[in-house]
Amino acid sequence: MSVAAVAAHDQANRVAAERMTAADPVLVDLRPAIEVVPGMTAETILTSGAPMPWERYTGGQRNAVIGGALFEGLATDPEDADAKLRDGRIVLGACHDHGCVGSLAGIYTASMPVFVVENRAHGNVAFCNSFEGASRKRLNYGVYDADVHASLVFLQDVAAPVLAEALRATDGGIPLRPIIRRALNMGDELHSRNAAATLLLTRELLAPLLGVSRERPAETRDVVEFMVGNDYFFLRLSMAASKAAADAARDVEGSSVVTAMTFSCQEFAIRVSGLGDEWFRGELPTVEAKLFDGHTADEIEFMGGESIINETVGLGGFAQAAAFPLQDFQGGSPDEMVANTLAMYEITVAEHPVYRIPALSFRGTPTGIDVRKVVQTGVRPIMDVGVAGRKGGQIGAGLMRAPIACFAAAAQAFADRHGAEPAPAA
Amino acid sequence: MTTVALEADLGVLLERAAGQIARDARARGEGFAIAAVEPDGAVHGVGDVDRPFAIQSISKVFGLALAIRHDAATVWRRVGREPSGAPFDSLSQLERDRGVPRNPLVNAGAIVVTDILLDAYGDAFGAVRGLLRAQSGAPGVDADPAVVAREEAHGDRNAAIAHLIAGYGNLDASVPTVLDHYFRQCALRMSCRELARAATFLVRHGVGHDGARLLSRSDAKRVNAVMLTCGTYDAAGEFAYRVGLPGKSGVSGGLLAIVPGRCALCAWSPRLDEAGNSVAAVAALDAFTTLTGWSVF
Repeated sequence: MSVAAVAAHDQANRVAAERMTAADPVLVDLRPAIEVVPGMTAETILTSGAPMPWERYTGGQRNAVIGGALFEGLATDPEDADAKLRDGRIVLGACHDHGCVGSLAGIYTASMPVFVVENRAHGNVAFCNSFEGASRKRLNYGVYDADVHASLVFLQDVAAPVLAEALRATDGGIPLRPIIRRALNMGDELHSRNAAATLLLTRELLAPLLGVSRERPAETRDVVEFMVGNDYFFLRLSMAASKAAADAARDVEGSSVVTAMTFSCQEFAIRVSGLGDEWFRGELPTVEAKLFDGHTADEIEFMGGESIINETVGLGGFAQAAAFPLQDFQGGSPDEMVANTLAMYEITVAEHPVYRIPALSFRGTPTGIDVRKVVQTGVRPIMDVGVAGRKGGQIGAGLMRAPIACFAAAAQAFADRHGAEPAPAA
Repeated sequence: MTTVALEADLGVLLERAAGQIARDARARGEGFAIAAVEPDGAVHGVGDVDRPFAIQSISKVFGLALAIRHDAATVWRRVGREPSGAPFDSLSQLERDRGVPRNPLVNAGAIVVTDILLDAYGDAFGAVRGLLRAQSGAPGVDADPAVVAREEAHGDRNAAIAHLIAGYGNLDASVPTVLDHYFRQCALRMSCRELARAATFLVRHGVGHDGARLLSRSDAKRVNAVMLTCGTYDAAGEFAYRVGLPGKSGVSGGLLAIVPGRCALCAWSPRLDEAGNSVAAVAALDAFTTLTGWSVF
């Protein structure tokens, strides 16, 4: 690249990173997907990963989509759902194309309640559905049975109305940036550890919920018990916040910053700010898991996942050094966590001015993955993830490393588009 | 020479450089292998690249990497980084240097590094084995009990070295404990393919196969530098002259070499020269770097 081209590239990446770090996500509502999600129809199901034909979905992710169809009443049985997904009577879409992000399989149907998060710095909106509860059997982990159905009905008929009323009683919503900032100081990295953030959110909702409880005491108690009993509750909100931040950084001409990472049961994929809507696809990531008792590595199955939107904006695995208690849950050691975070500075273009890591002397989280830096250094983005089992359900937690191929493909496309030399490999 | 390397597949280059050496070794009834692993993990090889052998002193490179990763300052306080100019198991030099080994790639240095790993990880052997398993992608890598027994049976000189170091206060763990871990790491059995793959983090400037940073770029450079100056016993000058790459040999005939940014090479053949380096492995690496023009010089 010429000196001028390098300067333009750096400037474009600065713009993308500034849009990411300036994001001001505010939780404003909780509504049925069909009311708020762009492009959602009564027959639409959204799932994680770059779009693929229905025939390519396998295992838990396939089961989850079918479960979504049954839950929504779009099919009478799995065979009926399969037939309708094949011929298009049920429309399968990618979460990211609708402003959403999916946890694991990431199933959205029309009636499911979704959190609405506004990015008041940029004016865009993002959505995420709710954590399903502490049971290891969940729709997003590829299970749909009577218990999962009951959990989804609870979210829809009990939790959503109470939380929505509480949210509408706040003064313009609940800003998520201060919660994330503070949670990072309290041992969360906002992906596999959300204990502090969930408590901080509960505190924000306490007074509005007391108001709701006057009319609906039993339901409110159930909702409070649900929230305080599930440390993961905040994850979906941080995902929506991260989606709002990452989308703000899209379409900056000349930027090689990653604005989305996602995976399905078949492949990993990324999007890059200056390369439009194209997904750059690669093989599934490698995973180092700490499994729950009674489970073995041969049970691990990929069934999709977009919670790694948090890593895309510098949280989760990128902020591991903020979350030493995580070693008890997903393995590792404090030294390794610090090393993992420090390595992410090598492949990012900015340090977050607000999200900071105490153990690193309050250094800002590494933010804005540059595909060219990934290729140049060989350092692959690290992600903290839940691990799904072949028979459905969560069987552990661990670390994933994004595959290099999609970054290499994106770097090549960037070079082709901007007349630059491809990033030299490490 | 460089033009040849740029135009040809690495496997073709290996064959051109080492094919005749492999055939000659086979004609003499000796085993021979050379493997090259590129930064993306692509493997090329000539000869018995999947035949395992005890990696012996080549394990010192991986122990050093782990120790530096944990605490480089302690390593360089307790071990020097100058070529020894003496046999790998020299006692007299250690006496002159008052128990501070000349470098981490002679036996005395590796014994101190093992002591540092015991303090850092609790299980020095397990840490080295874990690193080799993870980086080679071969979960079955383990010590050969027969080699361990042989090391123990003939370990008097190493025991003397360890006691001398301890006498100077440069060991924290007990001599038997340190030697137990040291002997077992020397007895790890790996093939050329596995060993070259395990070393590619030194090709990738400290980044492992999984994309995690194992060593800082500077520390990776430093490990390579120590290999270059100290990795082939008191024949390091001759090795640099002929091959021009960071390298580390073992007395079972293995020889690891690093071409930073390009590939890791591991050659093996059991016949040794007077300095303890494999005759055919050095010849193959000499031919390879002569053919390709790849060296650090």
